Amino acid sequence: MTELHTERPERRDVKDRIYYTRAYRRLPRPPALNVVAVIVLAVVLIALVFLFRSELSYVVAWFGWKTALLVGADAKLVSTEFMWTSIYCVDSLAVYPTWTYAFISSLVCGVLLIVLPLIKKIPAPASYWFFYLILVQFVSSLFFLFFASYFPYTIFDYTSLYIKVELVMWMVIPVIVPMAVIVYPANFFHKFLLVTGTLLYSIVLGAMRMGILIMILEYGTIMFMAFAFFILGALLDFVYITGFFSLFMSRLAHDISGRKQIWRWLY
Amino acid sequence: MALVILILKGIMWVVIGMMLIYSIRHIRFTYNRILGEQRLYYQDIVDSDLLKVTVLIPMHNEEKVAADILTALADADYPPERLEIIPVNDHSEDGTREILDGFAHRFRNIKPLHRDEGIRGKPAALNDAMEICEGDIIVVFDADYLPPRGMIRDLVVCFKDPEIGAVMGRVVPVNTGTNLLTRLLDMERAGGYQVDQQARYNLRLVPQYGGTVGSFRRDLALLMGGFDPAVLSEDTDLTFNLFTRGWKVVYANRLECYEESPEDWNVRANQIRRWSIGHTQTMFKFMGKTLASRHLNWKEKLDGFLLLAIYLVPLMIIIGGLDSFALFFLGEMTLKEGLLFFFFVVAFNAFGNFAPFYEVAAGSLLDGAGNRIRLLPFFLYNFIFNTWVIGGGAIKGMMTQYTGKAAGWAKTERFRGDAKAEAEGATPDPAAEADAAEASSEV
Repeated sequence: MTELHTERPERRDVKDRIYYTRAYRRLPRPPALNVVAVIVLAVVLIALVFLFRSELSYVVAWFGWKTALLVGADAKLVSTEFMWTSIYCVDSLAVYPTWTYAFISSLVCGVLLIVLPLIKKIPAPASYWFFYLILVQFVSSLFFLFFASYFPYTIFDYTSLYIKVELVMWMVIPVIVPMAVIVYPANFFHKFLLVTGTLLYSIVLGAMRMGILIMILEYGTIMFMAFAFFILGALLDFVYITGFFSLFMSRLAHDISGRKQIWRWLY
Repeated sequence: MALVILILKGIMWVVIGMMLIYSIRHIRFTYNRILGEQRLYYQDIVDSDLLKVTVLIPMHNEEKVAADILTALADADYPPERLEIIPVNDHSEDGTREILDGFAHRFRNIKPLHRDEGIRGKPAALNDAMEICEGDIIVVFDADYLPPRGMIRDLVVCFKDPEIGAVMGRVVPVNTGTNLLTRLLDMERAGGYQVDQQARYNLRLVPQYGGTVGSFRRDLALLMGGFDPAVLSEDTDLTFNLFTRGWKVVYANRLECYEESPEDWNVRANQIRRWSIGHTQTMFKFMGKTLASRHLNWKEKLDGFLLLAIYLVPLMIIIGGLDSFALFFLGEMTLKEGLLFFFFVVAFNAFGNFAPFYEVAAGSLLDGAGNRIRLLPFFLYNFIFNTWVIGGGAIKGMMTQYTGKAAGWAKTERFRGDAKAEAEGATPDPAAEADAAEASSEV
């Protein structure tokens, strides 16, 4: 007599490997504690930046001041009012371009603007970027060629604005970055690393960049101030913000992709 | 001079305000897609009473890709007697005609339409085809697409819901690994479809019919006068035509179809310039109708407004940039004047054409593409390129409204290999072969 199988064969090992289709899978809401912790972290970092805004400005200004001295400029650290306290900036005698220098700069930029679209070997995005960079410098060169005496900014104006921008940026980073990652099921330590790491990097880079910008303005003259503001400003900050964010997300993606229990289906 | 500065500052704040609104909109979409309840498409409907379908494939000089899509459609899982495939040869000057005729010779339900006269372009081609086709539902694919076997059935089943006027599937690039451009476009598509479209569908806003991997009711399209040949984005045109008349467009995230992304930056420029011109034309045509439509609630009207205006964002960035330049040289470079915030907001939106970096990253995460996400900072590379090309397209779109002169249809160049070699692999239709054999024997 044939023996009947009364028990259903175990299929669990196969079913465990059938993942939710990517079309409708979603992630679970992060634990409330995780959300609160990220918000508290953001508030703490903003508070720290606010409380130490004067000291932070000093660090950045110090780099700029030392660089200015290194290149032979008669520079000094000065203070100005911002956010109900004194912040530090650099002041030195602005170096104006000679008429000849401005003329040569205009001529070179003008020629490059005409020639650049004709060079087909340069990939289009790079070509557009070069065009934009050269255009900024071209306009600035023309301004100094014809209206140099009307240029409204000093080194102090520029450095004070730069430091104000950086201080605001350091209070914005703890808002933007947590906002982008708060919904994801990463542990708090990784989010903490991302937010604080991005902020610290920004502070260090901000200080170093101040030195580089001062060097550009001293060597190249203030004809490069527009270039410094429009090209080397806040747009560059977002390169490393998205860079760190992308590393965080990449690691998270690898971490959760093979773990079915993390994902939810529809609702 | 004070008045000039006041005007410049006013423009700056308007630009900042609009871009902040778009940023908030995309954050909302990202959060919804990651955490919110997902709205299913109609894929679970099983029905033996299938609608008669006509698949239209507009083609202009598509010899590189024509055979691939026809081979795929010839193998479609749909009753042949209810399926009609009309590749529309639109003024081709290469071997497209011969390829189409070859397939027609072998497959009874492939019926090419050759257009050598009349206006060239996808809208006109679709109009001519709709006049002669027999299907109740029109499915449209671009020539470079590779639809899977069950796609037609899935694209058509939703029309059992009488409210639905059109459906859109998901576009997935097939040539992702070719170069940096294709990789970035893959991420952009993930952000746009996996997150943006699905979120708009979840939230019952305005998901868009995209002109390919999509279908719509033929009688409805004809009732609305067909496609406007003067408008380069017939897909957006149809979307708003439907929504403003009370019909719905659904988005089917599960219906994935491969496309060929541009592999060259100049080809990409032509593509997005055409989209920008067409979208801007549609904006002028439907902005008033959308806001006044009694069939849309306020959320749909708001989303419709933002969707119609989205191709103006690069133009706003250009205007904001020029504005800030002027303010800089006028000595108005201070925090209070918002220059800082302008650059913040620009940078916030700069990474990922129209889809901010968090939306693009969310799309890649949901796709399980962990390595691809690391390319996010490279979106800065094509930021100026996108801004300039799309902004220029928007201006040209506005000019067509002012001058009444139609913008020419710029075809997207293909990069795939020899199509004739691919045609050899198709499964022949025995009935068609028998007919051909009988015809040749009579001769």
